[in-house]
Amino acid sequence: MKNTNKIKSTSELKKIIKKQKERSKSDDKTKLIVSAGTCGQARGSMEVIDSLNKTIKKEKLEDTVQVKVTGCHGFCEAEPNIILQPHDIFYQHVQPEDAEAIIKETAVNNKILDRLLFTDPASGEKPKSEENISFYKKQKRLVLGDNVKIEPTEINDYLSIGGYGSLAKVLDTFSPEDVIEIVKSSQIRGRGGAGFPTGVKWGFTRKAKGDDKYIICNADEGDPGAYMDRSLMEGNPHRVLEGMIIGAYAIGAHEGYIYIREEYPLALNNIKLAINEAKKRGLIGKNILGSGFDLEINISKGAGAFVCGEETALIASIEGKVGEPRQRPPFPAVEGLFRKPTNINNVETWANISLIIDKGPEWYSQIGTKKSKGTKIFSLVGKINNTGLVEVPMGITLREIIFDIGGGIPGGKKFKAVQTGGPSGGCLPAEKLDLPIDYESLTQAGSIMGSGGMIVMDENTCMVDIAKYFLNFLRDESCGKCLSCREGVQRMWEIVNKITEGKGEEGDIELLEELAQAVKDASLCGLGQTAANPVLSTLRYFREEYEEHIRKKKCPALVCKEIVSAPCQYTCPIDQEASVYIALTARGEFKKAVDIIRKENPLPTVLGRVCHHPCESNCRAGEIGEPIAIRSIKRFLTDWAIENDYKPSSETKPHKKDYKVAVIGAGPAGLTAGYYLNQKGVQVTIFESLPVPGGMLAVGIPEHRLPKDKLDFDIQNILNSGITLKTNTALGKDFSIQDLFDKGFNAVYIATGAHKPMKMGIQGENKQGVYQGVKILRLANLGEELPLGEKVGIVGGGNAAIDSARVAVRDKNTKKVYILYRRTRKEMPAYEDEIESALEEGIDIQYLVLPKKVLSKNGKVTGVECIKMKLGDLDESGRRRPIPIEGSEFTIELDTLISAISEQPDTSYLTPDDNIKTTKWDSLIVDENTFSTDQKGVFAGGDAVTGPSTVVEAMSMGKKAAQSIFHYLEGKTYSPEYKISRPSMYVEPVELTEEEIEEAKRPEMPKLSVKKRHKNFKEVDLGFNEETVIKEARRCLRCELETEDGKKAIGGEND
Amino acid sequence: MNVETDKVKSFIIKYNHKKSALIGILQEIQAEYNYLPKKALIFVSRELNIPLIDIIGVATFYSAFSLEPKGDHIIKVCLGTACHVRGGPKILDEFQKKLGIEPGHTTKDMQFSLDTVACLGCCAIGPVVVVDNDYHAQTSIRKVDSIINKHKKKENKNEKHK
Amino acid sequence: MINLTINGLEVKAEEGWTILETAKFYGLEIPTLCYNEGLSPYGGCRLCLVEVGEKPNTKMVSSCTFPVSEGLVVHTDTKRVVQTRKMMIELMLSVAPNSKTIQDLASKFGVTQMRFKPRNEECILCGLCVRMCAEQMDAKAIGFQNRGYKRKISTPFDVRSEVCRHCGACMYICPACELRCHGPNPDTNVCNACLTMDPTCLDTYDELQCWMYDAGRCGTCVREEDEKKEASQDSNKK
Repeated sequence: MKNTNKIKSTSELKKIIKKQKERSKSDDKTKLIVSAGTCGQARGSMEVIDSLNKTIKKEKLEDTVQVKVTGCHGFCEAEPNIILQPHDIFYQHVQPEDAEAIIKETAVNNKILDRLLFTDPASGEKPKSEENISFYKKQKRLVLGDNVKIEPTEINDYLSIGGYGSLAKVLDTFSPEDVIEIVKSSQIRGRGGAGFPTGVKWGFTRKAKGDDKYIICNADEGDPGAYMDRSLMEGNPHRVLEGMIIGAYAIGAHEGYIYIREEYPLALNNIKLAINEAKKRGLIGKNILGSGFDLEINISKGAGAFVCGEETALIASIEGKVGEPRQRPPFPAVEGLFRKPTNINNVETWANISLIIDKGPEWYSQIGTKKSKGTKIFSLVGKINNTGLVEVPMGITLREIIFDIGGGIPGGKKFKAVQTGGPSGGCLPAEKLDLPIDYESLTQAGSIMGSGGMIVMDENTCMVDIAKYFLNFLRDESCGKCLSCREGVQRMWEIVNKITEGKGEEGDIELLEELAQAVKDASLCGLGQTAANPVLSTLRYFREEYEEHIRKKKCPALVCKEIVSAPCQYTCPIDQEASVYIALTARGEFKKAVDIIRKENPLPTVLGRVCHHPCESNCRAGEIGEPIAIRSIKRFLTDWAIENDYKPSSETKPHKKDYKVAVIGAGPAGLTAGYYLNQKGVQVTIFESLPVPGGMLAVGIPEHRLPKDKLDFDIQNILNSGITLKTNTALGKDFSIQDLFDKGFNAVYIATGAHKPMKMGIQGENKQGVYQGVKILRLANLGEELPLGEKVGIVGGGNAAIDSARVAVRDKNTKKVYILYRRTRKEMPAYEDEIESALEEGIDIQYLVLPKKVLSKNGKVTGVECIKMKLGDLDESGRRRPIPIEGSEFTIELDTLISAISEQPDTSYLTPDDNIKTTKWDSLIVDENTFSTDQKGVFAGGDAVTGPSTVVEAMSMGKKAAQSIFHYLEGKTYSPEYKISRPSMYVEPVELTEEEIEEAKRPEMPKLSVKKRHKNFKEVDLGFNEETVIKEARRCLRCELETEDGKKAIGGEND
Repeated sequence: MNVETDKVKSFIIKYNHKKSALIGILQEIQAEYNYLPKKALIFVSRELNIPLIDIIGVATFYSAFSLEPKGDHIIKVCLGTACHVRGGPKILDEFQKKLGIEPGHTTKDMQFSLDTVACLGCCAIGPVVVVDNDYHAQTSIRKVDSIINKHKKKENKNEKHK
Repeated sequence: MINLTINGLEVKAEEGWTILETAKFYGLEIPTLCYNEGLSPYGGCRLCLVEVGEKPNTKMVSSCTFPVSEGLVVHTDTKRVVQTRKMMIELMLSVAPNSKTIQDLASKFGVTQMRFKPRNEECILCGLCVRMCAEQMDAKAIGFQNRGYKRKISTPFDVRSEVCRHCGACMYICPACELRCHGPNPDTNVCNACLTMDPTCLDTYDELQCWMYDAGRCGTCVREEDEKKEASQDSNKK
């Protein structure tokens, strides 16, 4: 049945095409089109195909259902995927065990399997067919689109979609010169990178002297992150061949080469098959289609050298030599392969040719921008939801590609940069998202089109590390001939590497820039001339990140290993050496562990309970499983110290100084500043307006989270070190700042916090029964009666809202407690375990609800009118914007409404004479390094400066302020010192058994049963026991030992 | 390893003694022996009349070739950009730890060679690790052990068969 | 003949000449290192860079490999050329800081600092020895191996080559492994004493007496004088 005879003329070819078209039209079998490119196969598409075929056989459906094995469908994220025709259904992540359901239910009974449909990450919708998926909607798949229509190993499939029709048209109607004119007027430019007009290039080679000419298809797709050429050769090899045959005819070449990467075995296989098939059918070889035109096409397999993507190096490689580029001129069009005129084009360029011939150059040149025509295939990869190959018209913006087609960044992370053009390209930041993409605009922005790799990076990507990555790639891939490239790139790598190790110095950036320019200018080939681009573009857009590394020894993305060391310590605002005390805990050395904690932390018992633990959020163990329960380990240790009466050693303080400092506010910032000043021998008096010390710790955090006795233990330890505390003494009421100086204080530290609640700004907010969360929490903490009714609603989604709700639920009067939050649980800023506890305690959290009006009767609250919300598009923060649904208003009956949205500092105590400036949110303005206000001798910190923040952040500010104030007292100028984060000691790691590693799991925090929590304030979290805590500590990955210092320290002990 | 000149000769004949086919011939030798044996290179030099130093130049220039014998299984960790931003280097670290060798080297028992590769073009499913021709998609540090064991086990089975 | 301009000067060149050959013919100096008249041009050291084309579309090319063409505009001493050349010398110097040839180049072109960590290698991969061995000695005993930063020059398998005849031409032509000057300065400083030093022999020999007929430029006088003294002492003893 299969026709394998040589086709002898164009008219015969046309007839065959017509016949094949009809055959495919009349074929009414159900098609299961499985994508089986390299990615698909890696994800198991061959097993799926196997399973589908078995099921078809078993069900005896051979005559009605057929599996088609095609190349890549482009949507790699969804691999392996299946398109069902004529049902027009797109199934993703198909597993072999799905085969039966797909065939029995969908193919035969037209029933859609919901679980296999694609779920849009942005809208949550489940579109049924391919064209309704956001990933495909904005694409224009002129070249890639055929991949789903044909089996790449089947030439008849290609013929059935009109394949080789353009070749017939060319041989029938056009002279070689006509073809060149057509390609010229289509204005297509080379898709391999530099964008040279293809028609012009062909013209050069045609005109060059000599009878032996060559064409080459450059399939040495070496840019890391680009694989469109692979996909084309795997999925539609005949299309590439057709373009080459037409090109050879136009140029007058009789021999062609496809130079293909060895790393692409499937592409190699499919293109080989295609060549053989085309030869058999007389489309390649002597006297093609009776036209008298001869062409042989050979395959040359690359042997792994990126530089061979450069045309002169590629030619050298085909000639069997080392892939060193050579001087141009002479250009390959004049003197190329075997010193004969040679035309080289990239796979994607060749694949476009038949399209231009078929539809005409006018049609083609309508697509795209003024100077860049047609479509371009990009491989959209990296930190992106919908990874895959996208084909879009030139001129589309980066934003459309990344957010509309790509579906944005996974995990709600923020977009940081997109890298285009491979190692020769550059990184473009968020402000370039609206850039329309064409050859010129990308070059102007400091990157290049290149072969079309597009690697999306999120906030967890370090741009210095990216520059290092490319330099490392290039220093190896440089051929090594030019000193500028070989030595220059190596030296750039050395400098950048030094910076990522935290050893950067002033002047490094300037030297990098100077060197980069020289490498660019002095190198012979494209590789060297663009080798500096990754450095220059990251320096252009992310210079401050380099500076952070050099000056502050910080890697904001937490990537650079030598700088970050252990992320737990690195991210701790007060430099707690978590990895060290965890290591000591693992060895059962609790005393030493407690010492390590206390060294940098005057409120350890508190933080063991309420810290927002950035250490855990960034714990490396969390990347492969669950983070170490660091806070709970700390809690165990500090509680152990209390139980075992292990008191902080009364360190010998330095000689008492005559300095006197007044600290206003006994919250975490004030207490910490006071503690560290006192440690330096300064006499400290803390003034507190409330009757108790502790600030928000005492009146903002309810007892069920932080028991009073535990808080008191820490505070007493601080005060016992020799600090005077004056409670019920408020600035502005009982004294002024000037009074303090008059009384002989040398400096003042203001840490008055942020206790003033923000209003909801809705109608009826002043009615009786509406309260502020802070007020309720304060009353509860001071043991006073709460003014709550039976039905209480709390507005907000932060910790204050959850705290208020959990306090309310414990009040003797309440029967029903609601939380009203305008987004979903995913976006809620409160701690996850707090939300969990609130739900356990029966609190009714209503998501996507916004209060609009307080309803009242006789001045008393009776309820609240709310409107339902839905989530809209992503905003820049990566969260989806809540939008009210019109007409969805509803009422909740309440007698008490608590607003817990946010707080701000109350600085009404300031007088104009104080000469202290505030922001429009009433927070105090201080110098970011010295924490000094505009008034000499007056410093400030904590929430009063930052607005509501966390306990540990406030403590960190207090700690740093103490340093600065002490310098001020000594009459010295203060500038913060930046050092690489390193532990003060290295603890020998414990040996873990294989089983232990297998079984290790983060333990659950034991909690008081819900029943036992009823209407009381007993602490809910019960803490780990000794056995659990040691087991958990042993699970630590000990990141600090991965640094050079760490390796040395441990290795040294072994010696 | 025992290098049969007949075998090498057959590769040379396959490419019609063409000097320009040097890379192709070396690829065949590499595929046959997993590396380029010295004896084979000297033989090719004589047969094709190419100075040995030029053959060495080519053999050391392209990363597909190795002058050192390779292990039974070649583990290639992709360090393309997409795999890099998705954590490829950490996977490489883990392989180094588990196998106790640096990239480019082979374990003492000649079971595994560890290599890095610039890009396999499977960026969407990274980080990618390829063992021989077996693709492992979306690998993580946790999967490293099972990848090694999978191929180790195979080895044991084969031995049982013998 | 081909007409082109170099530094604004209209010059004529033979078909097939390179820019460097043309400049030399007209007595225009372009510094070189990996270039040698007896060997094929290589273009590896990038020292002979010149700027070709007209602003703003100029590019830098190695003059030793770039063929002349009708109407070509060449500049050999623009700011860009000078700066890039200095960087090339600094890079070379950091690889082989002890090479006298490179030190002399550094002094001549005002490279006074070395901001990269010196590697103290004895090879800058200029390839003179490789070409010497292949083209003049017809031996092909040594060649480039590996690529990128791992590139090196060696014999096959790093053992004595069967085709090496120990002629020593490779050593003879090497600019890096020749007799070195070990100056008193720290590693990162560039010693340029050799160039600024006045010829020491002029007091002793004049133009006519100098047996090299080169009035001290050969630098051997210092030793000559000492030897003379020694000789006279010896004769006194006798």
